[in-house]
Amino acid sequence: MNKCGKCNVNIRDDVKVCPLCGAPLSLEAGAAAGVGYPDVSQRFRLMRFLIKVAIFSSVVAQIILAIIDYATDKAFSWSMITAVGLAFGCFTLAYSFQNNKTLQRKLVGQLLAAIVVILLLNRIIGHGLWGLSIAVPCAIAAIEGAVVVLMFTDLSHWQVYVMAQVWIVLIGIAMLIVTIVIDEELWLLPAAAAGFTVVVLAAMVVFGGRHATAELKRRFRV
Amino acid sequence: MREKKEIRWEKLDNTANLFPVIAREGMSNVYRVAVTLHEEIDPLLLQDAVERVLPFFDVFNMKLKRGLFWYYFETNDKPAPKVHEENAYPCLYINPYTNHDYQFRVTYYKRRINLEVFHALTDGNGALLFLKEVAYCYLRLKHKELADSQPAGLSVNTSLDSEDSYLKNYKKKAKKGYKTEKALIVKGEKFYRTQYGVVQAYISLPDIKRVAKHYGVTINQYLVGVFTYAIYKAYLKEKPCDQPISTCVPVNLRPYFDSETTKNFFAVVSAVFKPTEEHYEFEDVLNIIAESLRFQISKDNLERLFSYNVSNQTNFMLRAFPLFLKNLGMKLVYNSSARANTSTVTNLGVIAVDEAYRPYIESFYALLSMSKGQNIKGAVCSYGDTLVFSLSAAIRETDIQKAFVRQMTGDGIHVEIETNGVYDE
Repeated sequence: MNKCGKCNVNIRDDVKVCPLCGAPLSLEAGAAAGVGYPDVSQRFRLMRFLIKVAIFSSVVAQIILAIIDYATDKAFSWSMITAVGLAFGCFTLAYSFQNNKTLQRKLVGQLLAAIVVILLLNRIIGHGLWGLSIAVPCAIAAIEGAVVVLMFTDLSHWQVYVMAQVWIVLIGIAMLIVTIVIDEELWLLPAAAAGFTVVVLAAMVVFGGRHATAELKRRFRV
Repeated sequence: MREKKEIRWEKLDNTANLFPVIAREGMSNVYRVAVTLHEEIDPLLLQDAVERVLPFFDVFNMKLKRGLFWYYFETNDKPAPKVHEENAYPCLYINPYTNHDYQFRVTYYKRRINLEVFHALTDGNGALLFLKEVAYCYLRLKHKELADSQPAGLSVNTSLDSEDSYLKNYKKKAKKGYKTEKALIVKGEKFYRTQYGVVQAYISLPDIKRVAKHYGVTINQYLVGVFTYAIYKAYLKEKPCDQPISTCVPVNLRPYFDSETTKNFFAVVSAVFKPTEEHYEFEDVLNIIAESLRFQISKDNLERLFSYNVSNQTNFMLRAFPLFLKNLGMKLVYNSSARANTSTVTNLGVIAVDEAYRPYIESFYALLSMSKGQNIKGAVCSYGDTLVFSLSAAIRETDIQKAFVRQMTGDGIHVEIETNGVYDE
């Protein structure tokens, strides 16, 4: 074991200088060194580097696309679409790898982000209210389909999706109301999507029985 | 398909309600307790030991769920978390959604078994009970002579009580217990998020007992006094300061309220030293700290401290707020109280081990993760003739650790140190 003469301590680490004061150590006979800690610095540096590469690549790609857009087509700024797409991609990556969210919360989060992206794209591209009347109901139906498939793949824990389903129903109904307020003639697909979500929730409650009601009671406990 | 059992659920105890709100990567609220044996760890036997012991501990056998008004725990029927070799910095955020929904992890490195626990589950005392049982079970699996001589179940000294002792013992209509006066914050060049430095001081227990007796204080008062003096000397450079050095000292409430719960049951007092004059000697600081702690550690004061928080929890008007609003409120309270403390020093006391297993166990230690405003912390525990004081820091400078160790060695205490290598990077 090594000793630091300035701090007057024995150092169990396999080092040549004192980690506290930086003074050179003298070798002393004595008890064997401790267990120590694994060297994790390389792995830690590699992960930080990869994150920086991903961010830098996104920024460079968007700059190149914006330059090409400006140089080639001044009538329509298609690079805004790529910007929205890249931003959604970065959001998806960041949100998906967040360690404090369940899969169910990620599904609902992704649905809300997708709705925002669709509405933004509709605004950029124009050509009517296709976002609200077609794309958003399709997104809601797709997420609903994903929830149904996930429930069937893990039937012993299907009730974990009950709360996510409540949120999806609320989003579906909210989008239906917004669509009707903006243009009541576009009600068909939004109503079908909202109806689909309500049917799935009703099936959960009716066929799920006390498991579903127990889950809802726990979630709504005051 | 797994066999469907009735789902058992439980409320979080009063302290536990805070941790899911504030926990994230970089501020994990995960602490570590570890046991070092005299032999290399066999990972397969360790996994077996965890799987055998876990079903007995309801507190650990839970997953965290989020309701509309409260977080709560639910029985976790998934297999025990996978034991793996330590390959990351200590006390990282535990992602329950990739850890079979469990809020703790068990790792090993050479001769050491690490148990890292999200604070919402339990405090250090509860974690030590679980760690000791895992160690006992592991040793029985490894050594035939132990398996033949020792009973297969849990030790008779292990409690499995999981009552919410806060709720049982609080007094209604308590005044606000937490402080908001701004304290000194230790600043420096920060490590990257999730990275932090560990300096462990292995201290001779007979030496420290002798020195503490010489100064007329308890071991805990001496340790907090030395730590406070180290901050005064190394960070403040012995200059006066308007802001006090305030060290949180968690106090185990179980002896005061006759509780054996395995859930959280502690209150936090603050050892305060405000350097208003030009110069303080070590004994001056030590006496101020000892008096500060002596004054606060009484049953009535401790009861007052936690009763305010519990009365908020049981107030119907506040209960009816949705969880996201409660979380906002708790974050605001936490952020204001976080500025009121410089650091934390927690003491798990002397760890008792069943006699048959003592020859196989070398030492224990505890480690705290970083929290808002507290860039250096200490955790203490003792086993046999060795007291281990683990200093964890989010800043690169080691002046405080150096001053801490030098004060002890200057008092004639034998100290050995070990770091996690981050200061060499």
